[in-house]
Amino acid sequence: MTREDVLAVVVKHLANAVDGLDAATVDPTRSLKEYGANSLDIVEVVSGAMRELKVKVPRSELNKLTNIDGLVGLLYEAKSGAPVGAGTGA
Amino acid sequence: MSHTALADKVVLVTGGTKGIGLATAVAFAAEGARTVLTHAWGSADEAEVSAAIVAAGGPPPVILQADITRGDDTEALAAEVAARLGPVHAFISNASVAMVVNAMDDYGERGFLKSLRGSAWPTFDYLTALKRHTGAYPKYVVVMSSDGPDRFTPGYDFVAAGKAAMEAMVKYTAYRLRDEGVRINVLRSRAIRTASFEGTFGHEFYGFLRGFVDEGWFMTPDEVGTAAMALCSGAFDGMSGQVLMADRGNTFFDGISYLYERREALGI
Repeated sequence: MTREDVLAVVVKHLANAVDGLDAATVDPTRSLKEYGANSLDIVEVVSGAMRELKVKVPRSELNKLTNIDGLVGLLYEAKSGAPVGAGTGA
Repeated sequence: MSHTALADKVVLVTGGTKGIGLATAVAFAAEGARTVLTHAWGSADEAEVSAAIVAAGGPPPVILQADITRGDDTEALAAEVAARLGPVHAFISNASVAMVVNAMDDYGERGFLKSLRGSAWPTFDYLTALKRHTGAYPKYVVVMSSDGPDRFTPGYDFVAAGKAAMEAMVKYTAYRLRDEGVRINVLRSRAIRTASFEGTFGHEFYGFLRGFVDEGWFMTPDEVGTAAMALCSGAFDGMSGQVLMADRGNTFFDGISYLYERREALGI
């Protein structure tokens, strides 16, 4: 699975969680909040992506994220089997 | 209270791997109950959880992942409980999720409806799923709540709405299930220092409160857990559809007048 595949999973769950969002317009350098996601939406996106990717990421790491790319990086690391560390994204 | 009334009985606790849920499970384990604990995120150390249950006197718990906001998880959990353990004797609806509100700008239909879904509905989703899969409703249901619907609590707008809706439905459910011998009650408490408390209010709020009250003012998970277990012991079968408060009486007096009475001790 590539990093782009992981991004596609995250964007799909974001589009499911937030009404009226066009997945094609999502810029991963922006945060989930900037796309109108509230705290419950964010939990839904992250947990949905973790389930689909069959990975687990510590909640403490999720609190450090600043944008979608950071989340993608964390999930990709977990999927790749690499140690999940504090990659927060640009 | 009989120490055998709960022995070998199946007790399901949502959010049972941490905080109030775990304390409740431990209280049941001390009575010899077989506990089923659910979690959504898996951040608790399952070995530690299991050790706590066993140390209390219960058999090793069954620990299952089930997100209370997902109907498919509820169905799968109920099916697994039915297959592995059979009917549930006591269901402790402890897990709850809702959005914290900081300003009117946070008011939105989606956040509100998701908060209701995560705080008001899960109890009844579980009840109906357990009936479908085990053939019976639990004899006892205790739903954890707080005084948010009645007293201002920072950020609690949607949380309180969910609790209020759930409490109303508990009363109606007590009526609906009266001929099935079900006892369903709400157990409120407040100001319990758990990870959930810190996550909702932040550490600053705790520090602020400690400026006015000592550590003993806070309720403990063990106190609430023991109260929940007691409601399922048989000793309180005369109660159903009730909203009960476990607060050591604090809610009655801890307001502005209390601070005035303690002004010298507090230096205010």
